[in-house]
Amino acid sequence: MNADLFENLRLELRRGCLILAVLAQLRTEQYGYVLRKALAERGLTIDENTLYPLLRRLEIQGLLVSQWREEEKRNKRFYRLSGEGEVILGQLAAEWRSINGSLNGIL
Amino acid sequence: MDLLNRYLQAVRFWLPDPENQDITAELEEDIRSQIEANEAERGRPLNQVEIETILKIWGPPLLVAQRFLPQRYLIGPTLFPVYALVLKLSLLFWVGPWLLIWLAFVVFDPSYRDGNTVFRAIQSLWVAVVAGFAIITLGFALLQRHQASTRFLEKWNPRKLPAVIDPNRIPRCSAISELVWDGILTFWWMDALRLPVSHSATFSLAPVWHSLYWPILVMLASTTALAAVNSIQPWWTRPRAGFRLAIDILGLAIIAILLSAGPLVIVSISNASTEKVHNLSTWINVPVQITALIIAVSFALRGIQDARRLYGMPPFMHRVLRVLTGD
Repeated sequence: MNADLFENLRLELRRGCLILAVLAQLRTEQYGYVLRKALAERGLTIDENTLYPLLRRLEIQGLLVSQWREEEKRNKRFYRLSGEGEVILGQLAAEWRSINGSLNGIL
Repeated sequence: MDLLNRYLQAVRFWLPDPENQDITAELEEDIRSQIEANEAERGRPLNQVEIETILKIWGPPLLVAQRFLPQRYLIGPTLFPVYALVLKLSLLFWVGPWLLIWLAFVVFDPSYRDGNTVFRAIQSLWVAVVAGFAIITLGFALLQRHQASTRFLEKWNPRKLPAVIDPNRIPRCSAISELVWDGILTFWWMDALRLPVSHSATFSLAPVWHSLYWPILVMLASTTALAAVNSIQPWWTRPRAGFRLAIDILGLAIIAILLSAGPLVIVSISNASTEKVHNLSTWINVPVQITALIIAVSFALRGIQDARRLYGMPPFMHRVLRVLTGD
């Protein structure tokens, strides 16, 4: 019961952070698999079923742009931050730093 | 790779056109990259079991596809509490009385106890319940579809919210209507024990009513007096709760005697067969007995509330209980 509760709260806590991490990571163009590995290497694992719907949502919202391109003999969809995405990322990063600072004080 | 293609086909099935090709192509690319990374690590192609393991980690096709779909509700979280309340109320005021009436017929009339009649009754109740459930659900689904709930919620006004419920407050209008109704009933009871007489049929009260004349008169007069006090001072006090508890107990005792006495209304029809008289008597007495049962339930529940007030405890505030006791 406690483990389930913790898992639910952990997922809730991570949800917003993942958006910020994905936007920040896509300042350089990447495709899904590489993006996932890059985030995992930095200690932020994100499963496929979360990442791809999130990428689509962010693209529909105009924060990302994507392009299908052939690489290593396979078609891959490359994502990068849009102009609007860069602005939002800056605002979200500032918000994150503010929350982080406040939380550090509280914790 | 047959397994992978079958998996992607299953995911594609649940995705809408035209995005389904695009989404599955992207998923395929990720899965193939995972397979290649595993193969490079092991230095050999993956076998079926190993590919199956990767796909199992991805999850069932429906769940994978569902993450790409917009969240849709038949009845959304905003409207759902209202929907649940309407279902409960319909259960209480539709199925509840139906069951009560049917049970009363079974108890008071032996012809309702045979297997076929019971089966037909249960069948018609089932149809009524399913139809009611379907109509209410359909209505709310239509409201949800046209987002009427959002418009309804936008119109709210704090001033129109109901007043805070005071468990010891008596609505003055309810006390006055009780006073008028109980007054009329008391005078009717004191004046005559006669029922309307038609040319062909005569209805009279059973002898048990005559033997209970004084207890019923005391009960009616006490209720009228209490309603008069309540309309001037519309809040519950311990003495008044105790007084009404005594009325509740007296009422329960009277109804217990009445229900154990058999038919409460005597029917006599000139030039009619015994069977016809019996049928008419049943159709008149069963509703009277059902009414008496309902009043008994109300007395019992009201007694619980009054006993709590008498001992300084707050009455139960459940909505259903408050409706049934008239509080």
